[in-house]
Amino acid sequence: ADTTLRISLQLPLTSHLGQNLLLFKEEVEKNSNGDIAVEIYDSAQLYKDKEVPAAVGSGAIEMGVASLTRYVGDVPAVDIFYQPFLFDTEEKVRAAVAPGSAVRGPLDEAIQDTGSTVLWWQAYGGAIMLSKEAPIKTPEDMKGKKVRVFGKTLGDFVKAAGGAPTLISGSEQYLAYQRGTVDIGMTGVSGVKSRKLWDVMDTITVTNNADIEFIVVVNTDFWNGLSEEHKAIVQAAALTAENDVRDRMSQIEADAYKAAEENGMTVYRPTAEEITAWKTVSEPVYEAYIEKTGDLGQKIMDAAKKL
Amino acid sequence: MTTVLILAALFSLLLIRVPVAFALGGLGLALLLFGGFSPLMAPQAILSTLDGFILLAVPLFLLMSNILLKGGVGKDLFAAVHAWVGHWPGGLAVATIISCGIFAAISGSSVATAATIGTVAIPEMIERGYQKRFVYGLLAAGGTLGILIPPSIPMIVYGFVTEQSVIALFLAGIGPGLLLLTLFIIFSMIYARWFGGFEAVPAADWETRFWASLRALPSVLLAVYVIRVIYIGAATPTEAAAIGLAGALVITLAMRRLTWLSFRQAIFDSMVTTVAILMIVAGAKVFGKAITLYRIPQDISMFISQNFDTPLTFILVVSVVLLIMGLVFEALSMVLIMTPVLLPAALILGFDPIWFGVYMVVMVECALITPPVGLNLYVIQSVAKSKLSEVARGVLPFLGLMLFSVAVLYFWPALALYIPFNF
Amino acid sequence: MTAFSSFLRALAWIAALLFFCAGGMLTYEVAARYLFIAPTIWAAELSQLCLIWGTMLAMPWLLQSGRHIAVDAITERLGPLGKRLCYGLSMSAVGLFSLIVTWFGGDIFWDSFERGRTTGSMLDLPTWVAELAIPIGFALLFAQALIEVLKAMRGTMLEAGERS
Ligand code: NA
Ligand code: NA
Repeated sequence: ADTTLRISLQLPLTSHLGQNLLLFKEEVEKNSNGDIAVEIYDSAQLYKDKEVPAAVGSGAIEMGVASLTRYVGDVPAVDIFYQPFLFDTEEKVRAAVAPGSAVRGPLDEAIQDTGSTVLWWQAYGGAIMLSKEAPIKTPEDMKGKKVRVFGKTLGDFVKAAGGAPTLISGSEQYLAYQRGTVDIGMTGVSGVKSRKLWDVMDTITVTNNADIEFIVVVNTDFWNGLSEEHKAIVQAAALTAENDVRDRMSQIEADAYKAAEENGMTVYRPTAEEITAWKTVSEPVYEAYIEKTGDLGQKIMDAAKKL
Repeated sequence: MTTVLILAALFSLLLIRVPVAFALGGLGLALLLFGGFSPLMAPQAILSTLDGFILLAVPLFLLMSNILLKGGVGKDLFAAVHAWVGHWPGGLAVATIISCGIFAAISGSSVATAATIGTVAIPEMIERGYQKRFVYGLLAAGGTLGILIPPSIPMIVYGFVTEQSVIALFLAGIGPGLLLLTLFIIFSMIYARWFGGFEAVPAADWETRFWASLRALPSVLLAVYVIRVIYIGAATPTEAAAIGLAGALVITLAMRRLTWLSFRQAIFDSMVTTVAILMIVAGAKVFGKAITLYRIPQDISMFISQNFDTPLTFILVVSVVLLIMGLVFEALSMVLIMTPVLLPAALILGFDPIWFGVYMVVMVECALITPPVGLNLYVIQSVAKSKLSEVARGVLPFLGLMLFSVAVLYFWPALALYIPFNF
Repeated sequence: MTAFSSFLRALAWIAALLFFCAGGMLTYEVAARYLFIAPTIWAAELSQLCLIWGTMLAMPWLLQSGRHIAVDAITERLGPLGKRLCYGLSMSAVGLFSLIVTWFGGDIFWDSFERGRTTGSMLDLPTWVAELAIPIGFALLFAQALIEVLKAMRGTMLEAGERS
């Protein structure tokens, strides 16, 4: 092959993001008649998730997958997807992440400034809460409790709701729940299945308080150096991969909820009033977001609220 | 072929005495440049290593044990254990091993454990007529408990490179650690029966026992407390280490054992060891990225899983390879180089990643006591001012016991996995 | 040269203090979390900076005093000339490595500095605060490696017994 695309991925190849990359690889290699080779470096062999923006942006590697929130240092506005309960239905998520939408478009453009070009978005599902014995129906249930979070904005939300945010990595989650390091868990529901968290927590509250997105980026200089023909092949494969994972996501989540119930977990869906209570305490988080992100954030927030 | 060339280059660099950290990092960088990959990966890899929260536990555990050490804890421990079991058959040997086990719960390093207990136990045992060879072997091997019983620096590093839970690894080390401790004690008592000829120690009176225990008690309680904090999940290993450090300061200050001078020495020594260790981890990370881009781990992993397709043959082959590597490789770099190569194949064959970590640590323990390159041998040699060959010969029976415990671990994985996941 | 070596020793002491302070901050963090249920937002990140800067600042001193872990098996058996040759070669290798790392590490720092990139974590510090440690540490290491090469040429390097 004349051109090699190396892609760094934090998760194992067996994860749905890994499978999605395999689909991309097949498409690209088939349609380019082997002119373009795709090599996937899964399980953080080369880079951890948080190193991907710098690695791809600097051209140390051609492509990488990072959770969207990893760009918050460069583009604070990306945390629109972590704004509590802003995208709490699948319809809203789909509208927001559509290529070129008023929410996603400006973000893709801003990320361009970091030296990376966004090829496609990978759906990961909504954030849910885990607890023992009783669901977390309202902010009242979070008061004074230690809550696992995985980012600053989620931490701000927990604080606004009266809890104590604690950063715990994915790999320490299981033991942190088992041993009560934190009282309340927060994760994507597919994580419940892959890490068998039902051994240690017994209740899921389907809050969808945040929407977890991953993005696949390519180094911009490298991208500009490709022939138009190759660009078209890669873009087409990216679009196929994006649609495939988005369509699969609801099935993946449904399977995960089913597996959780089969393993003895109770799944609780908050009522409309309970969601309103959450949204009320989240007001300061929205305000902090606007303050931090300025005009861009305001524009995106307005667009998001219209969905 | 590439693999052989890379290994030859690495050996040449190590043999002309390029520090391990820079031999790994430099070769990795050269491979990146030579293969047309971005050299930016080298500084990125070094920074990302030092940016790992879990590795902060390394200086903190070192500070905790160094401060206790300067406060004379090694001596206190040995005296206390000695007062209780010294009069048993082979009592002094048993006391030595138990002291190693307890100190292992304070220290994350084998070298520190061997050196600390060795300094007090070796002269005493030789004076009582124990054979030198046995004494040296006992201490070199007993010291290795330091990395199996938590805390453990190699386990922190394994958890860091594989993104596995360090808490689970720590807890998984307890079972095998106690097994090894028991095997060493039984061996010492049998040895004492058959090859006696040394002076028996009279039983200590109750007053001696009381005072000796009282002096050792605070540090034992601190070790138990730190393990408990980790066990109940009240804090991450890094935070637990910070608590341990604070506890060590309180104990040594309250007992008026810590002078300004010894405090300064303790923090400086900890810093030196930390930097030496972390730079090796960083260098290995650069090297690891380079060989990953050359697809060497992937190919070896594939080769192993295709040719040794049952768990038993896999573990036998890997153990032989690690034993041979362990002759000449420094222990930490062995974990760093081999884990990314072996773990994927091990996972395919159905091994638990935590179990595999404990297994790697036991194999590293073997590497620490096999000549010509074995840090524990060097430590005992310099503490006892004896010949390397004498220490090396004394170690043989203990090496046998360690390999036996690997077999037990293989056929009964619950020995490691029961405590973290069911207890 | 003596001024430089005292400077490196001072940096090594700063590193020792930084590691000790990291311990203090994390102890405070645990206390804050358990006694007041109010985890700090700074302890984890600042202690991490202590580790990064401490390691980079002390690394050149470790080279100067022969405290980096190395394999003695062969060099110990060589005569004085062989030892000098090996030492000169090995320190040249270290020098070359540190020069390249300084260069590219500087690139990474400069890029983040210009872009005003931040970590996006709880404290949201600029990323260059950590990244700057790499070119500084390795530039000092490069200088020390050159000095060691000179020592090898003059035959005035440390003997095994003088290390540590
Ligand atoms: Na230990
Ligand atoms: Na060895």
